[in-house]
Amino acid sequence: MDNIDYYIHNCSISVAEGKDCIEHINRLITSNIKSISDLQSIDTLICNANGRITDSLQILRIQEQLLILGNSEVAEDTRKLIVSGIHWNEDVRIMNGDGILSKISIIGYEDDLLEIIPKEYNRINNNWLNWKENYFKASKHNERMKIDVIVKTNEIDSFIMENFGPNCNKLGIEKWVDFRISNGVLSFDEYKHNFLPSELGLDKFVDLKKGCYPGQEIHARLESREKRKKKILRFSSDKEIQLGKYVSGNGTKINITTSVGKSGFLIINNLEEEIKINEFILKTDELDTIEIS
Amino acid sequence: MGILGGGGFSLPVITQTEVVDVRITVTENAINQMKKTMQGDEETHCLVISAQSGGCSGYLYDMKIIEKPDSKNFQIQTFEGVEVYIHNGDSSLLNGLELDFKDTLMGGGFNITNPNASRECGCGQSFG
Repeated sequence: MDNIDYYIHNCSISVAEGKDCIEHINRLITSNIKSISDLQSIDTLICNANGRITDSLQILRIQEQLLILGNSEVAEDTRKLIVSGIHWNEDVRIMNGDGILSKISIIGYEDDLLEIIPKEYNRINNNWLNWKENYFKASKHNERMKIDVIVKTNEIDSFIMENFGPNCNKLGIEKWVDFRISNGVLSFDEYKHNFLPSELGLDKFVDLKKGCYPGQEIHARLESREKRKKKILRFSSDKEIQLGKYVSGNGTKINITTSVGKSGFLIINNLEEEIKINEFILKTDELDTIEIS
Repeated sequence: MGILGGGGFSLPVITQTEVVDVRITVTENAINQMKKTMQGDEETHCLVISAQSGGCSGYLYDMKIIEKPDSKNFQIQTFEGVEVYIHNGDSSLLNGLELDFKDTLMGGGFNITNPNASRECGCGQSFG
């Protein structure tokens, strides 16, 4: 039990309800959520008319409501977009859950966590489950397990204490980013730099067959031309390297978007296995699984 | 009972607060076409012009001839006996628009020019 940690996400939470809420939200995002089932969640993106990512969302259906988790840095813009586009004849209400609901991630070894989480976990396929009054979803990351939990903000402490005891440590941002880098979990840190989904390998969150959504024209054009200019890679270095834009020894432009210790994520125009930037040597590897957080 | 349905638990509803006085212009061609489409039902029916999220550029226009709805949340302008309704929620997006009608085989139909749009989709149905 000493190896269980938790992280409180700095995310924005909205709730959409009303009989047309799925149809309304579906018009704004890059994925198709028309068939979303109860307790299913879908990761998706919001893009601008130029096809660039402006927010990433995790949408969880709970009965007739949608819980919409986005990034706090752009929460106001995203919520304004969602509210301003409600058709006068649609039954949709948007509620603000910021400061009232939170998402936390609990990280530990599978054997330890399986003893604690509800036994129904093994019977589910990627869906969320009830955990008393909260909801959770578990996922494996190499030898560790991550459990995302939606919990009332003022009950986080008691939830942790009751289920994991006093030795469950709250992770700081650096340790969380370190976990993200190790497991290819992308966040707003990477895609807030005005990228297209394909530049970050996020094509699986884009459904070009669903019909129009903001940015769809651009995404379809890139798809038909198979034009992918940039790529996101994980790197490890021999020294700590600061965030920022660099030019490698052979003239390739590189953007270090995330860096903790001697590893991080970078965006590069061409694939190079070993990158030399001044005195730094960066070894890169492709992300086998990409999750957005 | 889950986290969103617990007793006494409620979240603040976000409402759109920006409402402006709407003034639109409708060309003679558009008025004639509206009358033709309504076929004498101007007393009971109206044209509702609205915007909704979506489309390639962010918002989609929607135009419907329907039985006159409860006028409580609408702003109404009358053009030669034809009433055009615009919902308060769409007022800031649609204020100042010009509605035209082009009677051509290609690219014909109702056409909206919107001064609030910084960009429009090629098909003319979406703006942002």
